[in-house]
Amino acid sequence: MSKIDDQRLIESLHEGRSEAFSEVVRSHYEVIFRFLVHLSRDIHRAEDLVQETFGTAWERITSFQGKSSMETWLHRIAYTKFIDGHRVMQRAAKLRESIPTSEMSAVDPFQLVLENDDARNLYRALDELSPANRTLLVLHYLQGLSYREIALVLNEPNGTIKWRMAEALKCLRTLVVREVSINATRRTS
Amino acid sequence: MQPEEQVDLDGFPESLERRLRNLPQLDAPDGLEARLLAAVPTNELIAIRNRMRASRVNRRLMFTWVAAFAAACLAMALLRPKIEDLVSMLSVTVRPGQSETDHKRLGERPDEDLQIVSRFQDPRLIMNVETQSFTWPIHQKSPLMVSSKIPDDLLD
Repeated sequence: MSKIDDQRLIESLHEGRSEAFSEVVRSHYEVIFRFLVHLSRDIHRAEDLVQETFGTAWERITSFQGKSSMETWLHRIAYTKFIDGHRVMQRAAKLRESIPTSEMSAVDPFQLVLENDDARNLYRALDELSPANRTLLVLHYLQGLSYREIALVLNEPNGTIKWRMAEALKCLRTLVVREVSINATRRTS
Repeated sequence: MQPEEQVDLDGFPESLERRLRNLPQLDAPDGLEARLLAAVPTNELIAIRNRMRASRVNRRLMFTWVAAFAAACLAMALLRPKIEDLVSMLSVTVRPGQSETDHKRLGERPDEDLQIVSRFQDPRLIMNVETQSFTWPIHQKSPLMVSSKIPDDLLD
């Protein structure tokens, strides 16, 4: 989308035109859904979070000034929604205690789309990463956001993001190697 | 800005970064788009909401004005006697030789003002003459004692 188109879209959004917001929903909902599935590892929760994200975006549309891209802005709202939801779930899990603390659902949403062992190993390694590291890698490699955009989404300095990204990659590499060796042992036995 | 591609150490032909980028993505569930679009309010709803918001703002503004006016009236009512006193005092001190008609013209209380004027015009004060010092006890006649008994002729 060109700058003029962006500007026109922002003006329409500020005027409260529903067609403009429908356009935003159509062009971004899949990206935001994927991001939230990666974070939550639960399709149903991701769906709920997508709805909440766009609901909040609509409420606060007048605060969007176009300083960042619409996608970055939506990612930020989605991330905040996920963190809020995650905190609520952790609190509920602490209260109940019998429920496992992991936020993952019993069925892995990615099992169906993974065709080869390599992709499966990679996803499993991603799962084992801490949520903070996983968020970083997902934002950069799967969602295609730049370091500057990630810094805006996570509200952290650019330098910190670069350093944390390198650390997250290092962790992922270790986990992938471990996954590969485990699989090799399984096959031989 | 993309990170530098590194030589893969885990035995795969592609680097880890490239493999991450090429990971298969999940498709959004059917009907999610329709649900999201259905949640977007229509232009009519937006117009109604905006009107309601505007009327709420107007009402709030009106209440603020009414409250401010009421507070000003209350303050005036409470401070009026003091202000009047002050005004009369000032008018007396500035023009001590004012006549009673002048006071009436100004709508002030002339009796009080005249008392103040007489106090100011006390020759002892003007001449700076020392008054007699006060001594204790005061020799004063005791007040007349009046019987509180009811006369017999009143009790029929």
